[in-house]
Amino acid sequence: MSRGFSWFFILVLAATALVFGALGASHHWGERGSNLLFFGSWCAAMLMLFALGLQLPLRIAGSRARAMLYNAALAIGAIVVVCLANVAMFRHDVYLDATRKATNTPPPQFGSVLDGLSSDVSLTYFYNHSDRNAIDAKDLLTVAARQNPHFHFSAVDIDKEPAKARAFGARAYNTAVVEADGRRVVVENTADLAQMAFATLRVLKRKVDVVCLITGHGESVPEGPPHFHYSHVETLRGHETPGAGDLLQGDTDGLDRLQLALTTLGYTVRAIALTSLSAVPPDCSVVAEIGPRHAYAPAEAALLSDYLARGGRLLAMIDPEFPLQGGLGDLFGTLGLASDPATVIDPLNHYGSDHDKVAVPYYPPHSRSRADRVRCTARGGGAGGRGRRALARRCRRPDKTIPAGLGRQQQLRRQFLFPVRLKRRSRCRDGEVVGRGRNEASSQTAILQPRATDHADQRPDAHRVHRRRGAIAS
Amino acid sequence: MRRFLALLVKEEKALFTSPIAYVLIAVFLLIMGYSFTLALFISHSMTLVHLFFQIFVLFLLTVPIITMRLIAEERKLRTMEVLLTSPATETQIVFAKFAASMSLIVLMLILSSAYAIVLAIYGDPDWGPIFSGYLGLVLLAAALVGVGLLTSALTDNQIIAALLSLSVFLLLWIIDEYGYLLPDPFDSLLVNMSLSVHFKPFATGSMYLTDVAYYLSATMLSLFLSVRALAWR
Repeated sequence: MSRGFSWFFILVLAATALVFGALGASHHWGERGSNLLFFGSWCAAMLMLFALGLQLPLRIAGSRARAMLYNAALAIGAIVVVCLANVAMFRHDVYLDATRKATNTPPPQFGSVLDGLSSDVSLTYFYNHSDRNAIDAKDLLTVAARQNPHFHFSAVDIDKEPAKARAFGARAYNTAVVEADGRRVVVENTADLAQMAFATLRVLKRKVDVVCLITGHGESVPEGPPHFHYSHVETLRGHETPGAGDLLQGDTDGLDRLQLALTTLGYTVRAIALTSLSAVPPDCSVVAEIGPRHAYAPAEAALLSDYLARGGRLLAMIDPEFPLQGGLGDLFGTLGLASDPATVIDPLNHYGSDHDKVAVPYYPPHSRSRADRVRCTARGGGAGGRGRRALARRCRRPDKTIPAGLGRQQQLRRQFLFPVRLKRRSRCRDGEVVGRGRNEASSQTAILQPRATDHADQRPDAHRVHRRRGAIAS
Repeated sequence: MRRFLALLVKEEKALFTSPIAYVLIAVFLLIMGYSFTLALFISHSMTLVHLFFQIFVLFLLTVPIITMRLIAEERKLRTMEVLLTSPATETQIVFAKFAASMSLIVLMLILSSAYAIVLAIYGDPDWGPIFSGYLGLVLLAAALVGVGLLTSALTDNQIIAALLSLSVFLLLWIIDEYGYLLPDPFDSLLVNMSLSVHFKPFATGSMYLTDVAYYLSATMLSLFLSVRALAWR
């Protein structure tokens, strides 16, 4: 290789490094694209430095000590350059998950929590080195920490460093200690990143939000603390999947699990009786009326009305068979809300063989709350149970039109797990299937969801059941 | 370039006419075959992750054997003077020895791909981690050969060269285990010097560009220092 060619090669590498670096700094390509360009620039720059280093004179005139000093200086300089280059690369790292199902990528709910971080959060995980699930969780947390500069993660083998575990107050295997701004949340015995994401949300809360549950109308709000316990069942998913056989057991009609879920997310739950109050307590972030069995007195509705006028928030979950009369009916009327007798059917998650008992096993990414749901409103179904049979001739979806026909009816029945009666005079309006019947005023609403296999991964083994068949939120 | 090719052919001949290369390949494939069969029958999973970690350890042990003779033997046999008085530069000599050693390692990796082919015949393996694992192994091997070449350039004795490189490899293998003993940020520095910390993501199908950068920079640094060491001595 001639000397002229070597210098030309070095110049090309320098130009390449500059071009890639300038493109990366322009931020037109997003963070990931910019970092990939920086990597191209880094490679070209390192090759250029390497080629330049090889161009340096191998021997210099003078004593042997001088030559030794020269070589030592070069070696130290090269080591320093390599260290700095690695630090620079570390600041612009790019992660590529080569697995087919992205198994090395943290779950999206954990990623979304980390993406929203604006201040530093540290998580120390005291894992059991012989627990495969804990090691997988540790690996995923390591990946997450390398992707997010605000998330600092350290894994501690509790058997190797018991003193450190004691200092953090970790007494059990697989304990996650999440810290931010001097606050600390401890989650024991977990290899579930969702639990750690909830802990992260909790530790970031500067103020505790209070959810006030209204009592005094036959609601199933427990008097004392929620009662539940964990049990274990054998499942087909075996012991390799974290939490595969964990079962949360509690009163099926109570709100124990709701209280547990809210507490996990960092809320405080408190029961209030409107009859004994002159106003809704100001510290109530949300007031929830869940399953009243008795009518409201006008004074109680007035308290709620005043609370809402002050900017309060009300969550009302009303049984469709509960007649909205009296104070609550008037309040909802003024708010422009009405409760239709409707049944929400979730073909994936229900309790036992009762398809009308909705089981909400995992709250944040539940499939029913997805935007791609098929919402069908059938009108003219008549009163009572007849209305449950949704009339559907066509249901327009972005990629699918459901045609009418007897064979199709049977197919839909199989697909949606509840009776679907098709009428030829039904029509599709604004994405909703509207059937023409005798009584247009009486309407039924059902959310139809195919028995999609891609939701099967979200099916948990711990069934948390809420016997609620209608919901109105304001 | 012609001088470099001539040197490369010479090194390849020296490597493949000696029994070391064949013994190494045979032992490597024997151990890998045993590990592959055992892992497949025990775990019943179509993955080569276990194999990649085995190869990682085997490389730490076998690369010093491949590289120990590269320069030290030339010095001992007094053929280095002939080489250095030839028109070939020190850089070309080092690069040719590096390329010849890498060719042997790449051949070993190509032969080990038979296990991936077996998985493909009888199942549907996830090719992403397999490709990333092989990429990681090639990068690791390049860094190891570079360091081995450097130790060989520093001494006349092959055994010392092998022991020196083996010590460096073993230290860089386990160095992250003692990271927690140091205060921040030295613990991170120590952990990030580890060969295994940077290799593990490749084996499991995760790729970080910092890991690629680590191995590339280690290779370039060791080759640069090898050239300087060869010229100095």
